[in-house]
Amino acid sequence: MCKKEITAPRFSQHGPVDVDHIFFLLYRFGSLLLSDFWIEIDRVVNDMIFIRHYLCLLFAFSFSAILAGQQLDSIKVNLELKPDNWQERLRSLTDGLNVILFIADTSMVLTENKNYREQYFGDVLLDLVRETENSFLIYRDYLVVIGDRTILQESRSSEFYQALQQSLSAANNKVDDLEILVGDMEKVVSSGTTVINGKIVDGESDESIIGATLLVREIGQGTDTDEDGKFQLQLVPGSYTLLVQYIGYQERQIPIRVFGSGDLDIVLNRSSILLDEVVVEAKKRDENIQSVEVGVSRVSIREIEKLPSFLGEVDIIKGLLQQPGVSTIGEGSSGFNVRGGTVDQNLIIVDEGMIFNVSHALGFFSAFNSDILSDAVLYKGNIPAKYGGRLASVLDVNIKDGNFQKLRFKGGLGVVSSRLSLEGPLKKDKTSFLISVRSTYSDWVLKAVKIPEVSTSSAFFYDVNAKFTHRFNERNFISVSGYSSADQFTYADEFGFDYETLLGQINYRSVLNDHLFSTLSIIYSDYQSSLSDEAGHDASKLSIGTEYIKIKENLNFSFDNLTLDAGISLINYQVNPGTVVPQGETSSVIPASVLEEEAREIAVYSDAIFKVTPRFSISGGLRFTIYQFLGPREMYEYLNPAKPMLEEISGRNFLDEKIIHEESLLQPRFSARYLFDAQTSVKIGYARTSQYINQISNNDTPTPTSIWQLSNQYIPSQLSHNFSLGYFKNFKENIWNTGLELYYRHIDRLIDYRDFADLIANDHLETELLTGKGQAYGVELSLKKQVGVLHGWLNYTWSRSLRKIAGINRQTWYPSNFDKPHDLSLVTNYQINKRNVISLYFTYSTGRAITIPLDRHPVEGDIVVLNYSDRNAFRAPDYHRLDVSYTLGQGYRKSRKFKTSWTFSVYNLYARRNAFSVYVVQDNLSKPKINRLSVLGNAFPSLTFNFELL
Amino acid sequence: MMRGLYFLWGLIFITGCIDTIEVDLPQRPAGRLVVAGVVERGPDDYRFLVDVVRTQDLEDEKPAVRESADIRILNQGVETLSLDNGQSLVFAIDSFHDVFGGTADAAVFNIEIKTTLGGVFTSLDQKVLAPPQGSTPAVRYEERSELNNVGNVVENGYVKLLMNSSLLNATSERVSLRWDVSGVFRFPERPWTDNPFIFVNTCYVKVGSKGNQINIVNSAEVNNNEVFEFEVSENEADYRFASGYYYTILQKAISNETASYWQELQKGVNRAGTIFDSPAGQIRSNITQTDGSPEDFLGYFYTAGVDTLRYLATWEETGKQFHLCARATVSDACCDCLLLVNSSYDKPHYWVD
Repeated sequence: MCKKEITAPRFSQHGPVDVDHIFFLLYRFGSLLLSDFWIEIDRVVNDMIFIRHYLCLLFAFSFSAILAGQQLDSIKVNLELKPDNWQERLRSLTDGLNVILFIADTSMVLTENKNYREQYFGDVLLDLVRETENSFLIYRDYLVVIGDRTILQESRSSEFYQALQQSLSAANNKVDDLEILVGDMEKVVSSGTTVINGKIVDGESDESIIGATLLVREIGQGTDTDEDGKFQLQLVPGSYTLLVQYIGYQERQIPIRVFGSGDLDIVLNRSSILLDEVVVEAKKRDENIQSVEVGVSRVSIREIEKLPSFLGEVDIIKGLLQQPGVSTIGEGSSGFNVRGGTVDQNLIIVDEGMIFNVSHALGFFSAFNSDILSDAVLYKGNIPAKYGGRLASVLDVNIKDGNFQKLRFKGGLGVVSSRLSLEGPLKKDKTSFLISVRSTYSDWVLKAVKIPEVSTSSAFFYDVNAKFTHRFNERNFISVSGYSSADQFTYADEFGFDYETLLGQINYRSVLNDHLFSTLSIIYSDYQSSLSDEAGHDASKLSIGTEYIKIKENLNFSFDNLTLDAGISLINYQVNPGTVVPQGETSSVIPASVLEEEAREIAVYSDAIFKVTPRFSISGGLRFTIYQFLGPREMYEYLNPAKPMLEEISGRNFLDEKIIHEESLLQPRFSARYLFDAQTSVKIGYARTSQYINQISNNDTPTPTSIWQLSNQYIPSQLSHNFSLGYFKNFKENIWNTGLELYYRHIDRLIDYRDFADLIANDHLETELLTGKGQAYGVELSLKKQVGVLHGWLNYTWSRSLRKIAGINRQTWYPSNFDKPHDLSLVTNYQINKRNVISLYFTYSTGRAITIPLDRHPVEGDIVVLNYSDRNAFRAPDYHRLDVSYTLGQGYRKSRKFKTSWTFSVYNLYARRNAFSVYVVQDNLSKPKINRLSVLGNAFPSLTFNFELL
Repeated sequence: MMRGLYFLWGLIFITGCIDTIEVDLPQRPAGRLVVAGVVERGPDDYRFLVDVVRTQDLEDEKPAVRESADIRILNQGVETLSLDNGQSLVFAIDSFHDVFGGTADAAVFNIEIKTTLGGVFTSLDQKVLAPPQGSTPAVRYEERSELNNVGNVVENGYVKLLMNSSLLNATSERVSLRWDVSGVFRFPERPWTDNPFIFVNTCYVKVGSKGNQINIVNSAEVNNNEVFEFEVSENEADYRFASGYYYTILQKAISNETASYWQELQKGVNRAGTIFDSPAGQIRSNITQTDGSPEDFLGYFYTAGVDTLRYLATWEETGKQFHLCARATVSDACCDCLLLVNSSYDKPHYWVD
């Protein structure tokens, strides 16, 4: 490797990130050649060898270790250069190697053809500059500079590096070329958590920029600048890329290397291309190309906030529905369906804790308060091995830490609910808190109605989040958080239901060394729901509950080309499958209580992302699970245990064993990405998944009182194979993103239900279930314009979700009730200026599969029997809807500490009566009516006032 | 509870709406064969009825097409009667057993159908269960505030018929119950005149049971041996209750399996379209094809012990309703009560004021 010592005239660790930093970097670069830093590098390289072995064993990619270990100048290349195209050919080569090439001497010529075969890249460069006045410099294997020998080796003027910087920025417009060092390098210890304070200023006026966003690409976390343009980041030592953005300014991606706590000031220059009308994007524009995973949707809270919403409630779940491959039965249904999976096949993770219900008010509102979310990622194809327990997808939602520096609050006043979040330091730089509350106040509306049954009714929900984060020292910190939500609905004195979720978790993070940190999580969650019928002979109360304790230890290793997660998790479930208690004196309901169930799920996993070559990266892992259904308890016995039937119950025995049923499964996960060029990639993915707890519901969509059933010897776990293939292509400097993804999922032991199944407090529930196979496949097309005055996206999915189950439709393939072959969503945002945004959202999908009568016949004269078709043999009318919103904000101004905005939106602008359900009403012998129930059959305007103290 | 669910979706969120739509139904195959039979035993006689029909399109309002078939009733496996398709046959209990043997207590019926296409269908044996004794109807009047067609809140009255009954019959068998409710109301003509010599007629108007209101109690789902205040009918309180309304309740004792059949049938017709609707499905059958070319068919055969109960709902207990013509001659029926549908001058034999 070409190692050259460089001296710098001056450097600053605290000044704005400009040429000073470049000099500083180069200065340190040279001096480090003789420092202990190389000892550290050697140690890491040794770690690399170990990890390569791991990967070799895992995936048999033995060749990858050799390739990945090569230094840039020792890579063998084949290159044919001609005088008229040598720069282009050379640049093409370096692009392929993911290396930035800067040819400072534009007058440099090649006098003859050159043909290099199996030559070291360093030798090629040396040969090129041999008979010229130039030399070359290779910096950290990602920058090659060819320029004047004297400048490169001796007198490096600030003008040169400034020119270099500007040229590279202009040429690439994405990645700042040189790494910024943060912290005291003379104290390069194994280090701990560091706090980086900084400021973002305008490159011309030196004024602070308020509301600029920073995203740490590697960990997906970020922050905004405050009213002084200041920001704070907490990072463990290591290398990162900062994405810095602000409206009207050139985006910067700044590589930083963090040694310890320190300052980092950043200069943003005004954009000469996009002027003022640029939209902030909180993620890297070419993430779709670069990331290894296929079938991953990162949901931007900022994007969702701009979109039209129902009654002004920003809803992350509805934001998910705009992603390709994600759909729902219709308005008023809780949860969402991912690539033909059922609602319960989605794992919903909040920080580390899973929750069982994601909706308020039966699905009209999300259970998440968007103000406190840092990000949300939906894994719908290739699910990393650290996640498990569900077949279809993982939604990983993260709640941000409270601000360690100053008190801030944020909130909104809506038509039916309001929200407020407060965050700040309990002890500056040591302990922070974040508390948010959201609640509806629809009761006053009901009380105002004169109808007694309405005024004595009640509809209410709330959710509360609290998170405390404490830093013991630079190496250890802990967060304690809690989430509580409740819904309650009563209709006069007749009926009511309520459901509530409680989630508490402790996450202890510890930095073990520069590249290794651990996270220990302890989670407790309890979900309870009840349904009461207060009047008549069937007055009763049904109660169900699901409770779990989870302990998880995750180790994360990260170094250059490799990121490794490994860990173990233990979940202990306790489920109350149902208790029915009669209510009132006239009730004739039989009291019933199904024995509580207990099970545990143990998982050991390891996951790695490895950059094999600059073009080729792989991600893979293994997850090994052991599931145990625990006794002792009574169980029914059947003549044919493989096919339990009510008529074949042979007895009820007490099973004394501690473990009544056990399953284990090795679940490989794999994905790979190949870059054709910087804007084109192809990816494949595979995931084997299992599910040991299932929500039992034969309604169109699960209700809050649908029980979660643990797998046992009669209801074995559901298993799936998930395959994905994607082709991604960006255009015009990644402003336009396009994607094409194919997927196929095969499910074994898929659960469905007998006709007229009795699922309530049934202690032989297995006799009501049928198992079989399922398959889902589809094509997802996406087109996205990321920035500009007019930006947005268009997603289209063609898909099928089919089942084949003995006992249903003569064991032929039939569509699931969320099978919607065509699904299209279009989002457009028109950013009139900084303050005014107009958004449109249009969605279209095929009507879902339904079961309606085929024909009818009379019985006993005047009673008509409706004879239903095969299951899901028909389709509801197609669904389409247009929403529009207008946001008037104050923009970001230096002098303003209090930011406000008004959002006016209309949901279902043209009042389309989309069918949630289609059903037949038959009165006597008259012609039956086919009715359509539209849950949101009108246009719904709303006005929301949002405020934020910066 | 269903009103509550509508309320939840329709009012809280001020959103819901229900309308009737056209759905593209594919061309269906020829009507499927339906074999439906019942044997009811009243206090004095049996009533036999078997329908062999073809299913009809949903939108077809013509009567179902009857299938030519040879229909036989078997008692304890012994062939007894031959029936005409769709024609009920009433046979005195004593006479029946005198002719065909056996006893009423031990009567077990099934049916055998032979179609002209050669198909032979037989049902499972069904024992006739005696109905419970001492069941008592009751009427309750209640008012509800509701929105009318123009959006005003108005008080509407409703008359409910409630049943109290044991589930144990005379032989201490636990039975399931099904109730069919019909009624007759009295309607005296009230011409708006001061002439005291005008002759005023009184009609008795039959109100049929609400066809698809299926009132069923499955004793397997009931905690004790009695049901209290089980609602079997609800009518808007109006002029029909001004001069007396006589309910007739046919209380049918049926087996739990038959109750399950009726419950399945009930789920197919009483749907609200909400997320709490459990899906309808293919209704069970206890009939099997024993000969002929296999055919897709439907149907059920059951027996019931029937008791007839009557209840006269008085003016006081039904909310003191006004006569249709109390304030003005708003209908031609005020002058000619026979213009009312199903009306007659004949007073029912059971009507006792």
